[in-house]
Amino acid sequence: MNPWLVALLRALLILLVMLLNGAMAIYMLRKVLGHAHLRLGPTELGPAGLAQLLADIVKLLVKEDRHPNRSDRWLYIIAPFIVFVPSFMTFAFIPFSNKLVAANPDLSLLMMLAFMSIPPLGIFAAGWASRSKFATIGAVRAVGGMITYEIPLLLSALPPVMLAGSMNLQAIVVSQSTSIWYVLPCLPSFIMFLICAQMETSQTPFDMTEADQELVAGFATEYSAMRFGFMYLAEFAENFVMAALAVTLFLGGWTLPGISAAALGPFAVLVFVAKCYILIFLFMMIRGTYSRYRVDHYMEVGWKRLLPISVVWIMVFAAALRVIAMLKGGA
Amino acid sequence: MLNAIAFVILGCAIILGAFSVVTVRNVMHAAYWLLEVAVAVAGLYYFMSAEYIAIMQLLIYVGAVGMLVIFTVMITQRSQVDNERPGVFSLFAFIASGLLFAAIAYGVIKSPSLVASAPQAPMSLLTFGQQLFSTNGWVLAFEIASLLLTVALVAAVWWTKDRDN
Repeated sequence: MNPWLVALLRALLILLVMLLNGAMAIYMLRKVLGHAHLRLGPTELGPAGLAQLLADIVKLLVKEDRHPNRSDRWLYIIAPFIVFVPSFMTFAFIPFSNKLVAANPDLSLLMMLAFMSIPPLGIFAAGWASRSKFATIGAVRAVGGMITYEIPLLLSALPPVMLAGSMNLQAIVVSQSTSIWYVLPCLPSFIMFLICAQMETSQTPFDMTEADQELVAGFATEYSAMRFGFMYLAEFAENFVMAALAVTLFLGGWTLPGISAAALGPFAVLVFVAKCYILIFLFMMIRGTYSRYRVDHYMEVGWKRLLPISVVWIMVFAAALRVIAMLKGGA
Repeated sequence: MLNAIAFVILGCAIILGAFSVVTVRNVMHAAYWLLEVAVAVAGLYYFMSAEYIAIMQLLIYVGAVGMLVIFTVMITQRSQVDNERPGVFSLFAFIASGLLFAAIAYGVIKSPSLVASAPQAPMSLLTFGQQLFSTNGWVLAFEIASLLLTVALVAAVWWTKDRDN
């Protein structure tokens, strides 16, 4: 088949996954948070409030797209895309099953993390271009947090790489299927990864970026209609990507222990997606139960706790791997 | 074919971006144009099969240095007026940059073609890693660089901490 057509179809498929995930995540967030807060969430439209989603989409699409009078027009318009496009591109590297992955370069893990480092620039542009105090403060808080937790996030993704001997996400999954899920040998990394993921997607223990009653909607305060929609779609996408990365690195990806890839067949995709949504559910429960960290507190946790801990843990882990390899070689 | 198209698009993006960095009056816009150039250069590396360099360009130049530039611009501006840089024409700067351009262009034109000496196939990631970390490769340079960065990190912590107590 024409390679251009294949590439286009892959991109469209990723976009579809991203949109479906957005819809799923909005509904799930409302229901899960609702029940965590002893509310019901949406109930009126459709069965169990499912059609609320359609109403929301229609609202986002037809709402007036307004620009604050003194905003920096050029940056204001482009900012949602600086957030959206890289988040969209990270989906390309997620291995949904042994065959279903849009792009599978040798360094897919590193590439994914590289694309994830771009959205903070868009968030900052959005906050700055809005020329609104809420938006600017929200953006500075969000970006400060994100760049702080990006380093421990990168470092906590390394132990699985050391175990698998590859930066290719597919190879990491395959090597987990022949040994054990890496959550067991790398438990501290897994916990650090989850904390950092919570920060990178600015969810509740670390959502001073919004802190509704203080900053309205943080960096997105001045945005309306589909521009706002793009930013939120990107946030939900990042949520899914973080869960997918955690599943791939630590929880065996699309494999199940004791079942071969051939036996799993097309169900591998379902296994992977189910694992991701279980993790997202965990994120949402954390969001529903924990109270906010203060800005200076979470910066302190990031720089003074997580960063040194992750550096020391990597050294300990690497040394332990070496010692075990030597003992095995000697015996 | 694909490479040629990508090269043309990215090349135009780089030229446009670089030109905008120096001509745009708004400093923040200039910073974002600089980022656009960095992203386009990463794309160029990628299409030259230097995947690793492309990723590092994105992670370090766009993610880290870009953020540093933008924060610096934001923190140093006292009011909205500081956003607009004065459009002063300096003859000296014009001549100096013209001379620099001439020198670089002369060097590029006079140097022997690099195409002949370039390797046929791109170096595999495995070879690259082994070269970087083998004792007869670049491991010493790597260690010195990491030591230097650690010293800089400690120094930054020391400088910023409250020295009253």
